[in-house]
Amino acid sequence: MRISTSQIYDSALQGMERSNSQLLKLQNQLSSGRRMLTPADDPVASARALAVTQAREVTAQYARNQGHASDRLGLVDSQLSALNDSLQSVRSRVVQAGNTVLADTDRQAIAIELEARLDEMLAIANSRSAEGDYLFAGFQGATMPFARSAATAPTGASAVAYFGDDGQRLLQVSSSQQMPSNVAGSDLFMNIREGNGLFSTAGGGNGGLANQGSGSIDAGSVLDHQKWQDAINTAFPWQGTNNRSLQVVFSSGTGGTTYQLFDVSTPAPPSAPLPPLAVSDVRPFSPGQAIPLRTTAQPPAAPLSVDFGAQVVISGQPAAGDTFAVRPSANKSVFQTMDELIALLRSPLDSSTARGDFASQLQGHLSNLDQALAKVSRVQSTVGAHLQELDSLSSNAAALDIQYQQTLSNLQDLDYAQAISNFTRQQVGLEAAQKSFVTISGLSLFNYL
Amino acid sequence: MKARSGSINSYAEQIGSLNQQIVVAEAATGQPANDLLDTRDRLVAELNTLVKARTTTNSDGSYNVFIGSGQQLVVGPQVMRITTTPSSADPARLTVGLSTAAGVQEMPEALLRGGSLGGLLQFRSESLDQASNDLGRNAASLALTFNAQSALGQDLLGQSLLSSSSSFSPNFFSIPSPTVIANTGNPPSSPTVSAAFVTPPPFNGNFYTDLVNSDYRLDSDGSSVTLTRLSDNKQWSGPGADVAVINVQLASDPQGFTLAAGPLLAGSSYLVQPTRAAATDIAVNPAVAADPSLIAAAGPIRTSTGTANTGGATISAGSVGPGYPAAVGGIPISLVYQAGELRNFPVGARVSIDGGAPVVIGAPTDGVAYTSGATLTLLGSVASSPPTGFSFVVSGLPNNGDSFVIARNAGATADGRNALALAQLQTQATMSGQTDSYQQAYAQLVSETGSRTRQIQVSAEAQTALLEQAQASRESLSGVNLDEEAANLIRYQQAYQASARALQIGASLFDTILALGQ
Repeated sequence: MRISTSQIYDSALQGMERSNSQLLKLQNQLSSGRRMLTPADDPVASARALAVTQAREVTAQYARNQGHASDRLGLVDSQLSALNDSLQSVRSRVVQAGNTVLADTDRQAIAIELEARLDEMLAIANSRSAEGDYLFAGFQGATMPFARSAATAPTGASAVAYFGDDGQRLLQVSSSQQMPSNVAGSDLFMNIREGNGLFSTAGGGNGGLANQGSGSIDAGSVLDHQKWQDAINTAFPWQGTNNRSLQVVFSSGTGGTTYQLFDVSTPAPPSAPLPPLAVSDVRPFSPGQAIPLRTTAQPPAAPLSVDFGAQVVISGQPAAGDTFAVRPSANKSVFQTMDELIALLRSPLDSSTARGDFASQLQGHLSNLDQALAKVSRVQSTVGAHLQELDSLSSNAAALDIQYQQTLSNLQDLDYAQAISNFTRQQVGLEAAQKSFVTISGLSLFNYL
Repeated sequence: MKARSGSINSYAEQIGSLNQQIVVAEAATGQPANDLLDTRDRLVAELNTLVKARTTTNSDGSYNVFIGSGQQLVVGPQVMRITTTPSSADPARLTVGLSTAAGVQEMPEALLRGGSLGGLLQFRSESLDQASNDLGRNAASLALTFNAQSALGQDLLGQSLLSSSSSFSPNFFSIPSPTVIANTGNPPSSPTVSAAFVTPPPFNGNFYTDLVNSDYRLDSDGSSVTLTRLSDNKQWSGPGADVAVINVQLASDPQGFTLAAGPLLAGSSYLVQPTRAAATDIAVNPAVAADPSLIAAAGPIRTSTGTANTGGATISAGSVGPGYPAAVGGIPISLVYQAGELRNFPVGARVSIDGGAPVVIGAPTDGVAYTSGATLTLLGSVASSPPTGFSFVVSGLPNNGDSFVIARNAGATADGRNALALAQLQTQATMSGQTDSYQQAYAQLVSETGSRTRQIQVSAEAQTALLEQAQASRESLSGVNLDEEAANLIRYQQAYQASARALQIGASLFDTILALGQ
């Protein structure tokens, strides 16, 4: 083929230009360290790189959230420990107060200490985070959650009320998990079941007075949860819908002391309350005996025999007409328990009746305190479990981050060895082109003319 | 485009004047005017780098030059001017037109291929328009879904959709409505057409949009109206002059927007650009930007178990869906468990269990069967699928008389439930009819642009190779090789020298012969 001189120049120039642009691209790749300079270099990889970058950033945000949750839960945990210590110390003081050799002044001294403990608990309950929001207020971080409500006439007593809510402040700690970073004060301090958690027991009085005998009732024990639940709701034909509870009534018969169970539920207002209804036969009683909460058919009023799946133990010697109430547990705040304890310890014990009542009441409060302690340890273990979970999530996030970095690097980072080798090859090629061009362009017949 | 059409005009004028000169010169001498012909060929070649042009030769040797689908640019000595003019469909953008006595006649962009002008137009219609529509689609979807979720929240001041009169700002972002441009050639007193995004966007667990990255054209021929999606020419058409028939069809085949207009006149045409301006004009709602306490980060409703409950059942925090204000009309609601049922729902409310057919509450004593762990949804009056309103779960063993309270979330300064829902939008399928996340849709745009660029690079390389081949062929025929010339030079020089030698010999011969005669 015939080659024109300008063709030699043009094509050499084009070749060198191509080499130059290749070198420029390689140089850009080398200086930026990236394989893809524009999406056109690898459209699929660049789209994937975007997705991976987002996933990585989201994981980094989760890691920050985990740190935040961990800080918050750590704070809650330390407050829970303080609360636990405080409750433990209250409990040992209450056990001490049950000692019959103590004088009224000793009990008053304990009451004063308990008052200090109560203030301490209130301070814990109203503690704030570093940002200034209340830890135990649910959603309402700016509202002081625990305060004494206005005094109620005529007793002058004022109970600690909760002004927060049940809200859980959730943080997104992984793609599929939201973790609460707080504990609602209602759960921790207010919603504490009295008694044994399912039902509570108390002396029920005798004809408008306190019980006259020395009998005291324990917290009771549940043998079958489901039976209790069924009996309270459906299985037992209560005479009313409200205040569904049983009463143990003592009387003295020919063979000694006897007891009988009564249904003391009442219909919903405005209907008039009904008198207690006997729901079991009269049974003999010996002190310290376990009394099964089982009704027997009393036709025609109470036609069914129902097992409540629970029993109570009454020790001491109840007098005829003494009653003990067994009712489903309601919530009692730890502050109310404390208030009642303090009032109990301040009242003098001047008769054997008062002593029997004192023992009964103290027993009740003790079991309420145990419920509060159990609640605190349950919450503490939940918080601990969350903290542990956060630790594993955080190491998981770190591993994920490394994985994403690796993927990103595979997608967009430059293989330096290959790039430098390519660069050198291009360089050699360009130099060869330049030298050969100079040589060829120097070749001319005119040189010999 | 302006510069290029100016250059095209100047080439056309030169070709026209050369046509005239060539005719005159050839008529005067009867010989081809070679220099002028060469210049004209060079000009036509250069014109072709601007726009693809075809030529025909007249009997008198002059050229006719056509562009597009046969639009005359040069006819003999006569020259038409092309000009850039605002498009009649969208006056905001320039298009190319041919100046005629009757005015500027627009040329269809699809016909102007080749050359740098064709390249510009093609780039605009195939890459730039789509990319800006796609970016706009991302921006509009982000704003619409974010705003809709934001409307389900409550701000720091306790304001939400439940507040009776308030300065609650449900919109976090502000975006422009879809643009509708009336064709400048529409009949006089044509009605104004407007389009609006579907707000709130559809909801199925999360909000999502159905927007696509295309423009639409609305036409009316007097007896029917037609909406055409320009990317694939899909059509929605109905009789009459009212766009309502189109909206009905768009309800079952959603495109993310609806139209509104008076009766359209025959022969009118409108360009609908749902997302073109969204990416440019998206902004944070100035009210929210000025006062961050208006950000709806909290949930509007909270739940609690009654403090006097004796059972162990708990109620979940619950979640709200679109239409919740109507669903929780009687707030605060205190549900009571009695004899295996939850009672005391507001009268007139409808309750759906685990997404099933709703139960209508006729009286406060009407109950909903209690199943521990079932999702109960309080519904408003609007039927929706899946049921949305206020959903919650009661689980555990309740006792008769236990209550569960649903109340407004007053004073909730430490609640971030709606903010969590907003954050989750990032990874949920919020676009393209709930198939893509924002990121995936954007990645598609990047990948498409990347492939298109790559495709163009490859075809540019191929074209360059072809060009080199063609130039090589031309050069091999008509190019100059200096060695060849030098060789020829030497050859002719030698021939010349040989001839001169012969002459010299002849001269000396003559000299010798003449000397003989002396």
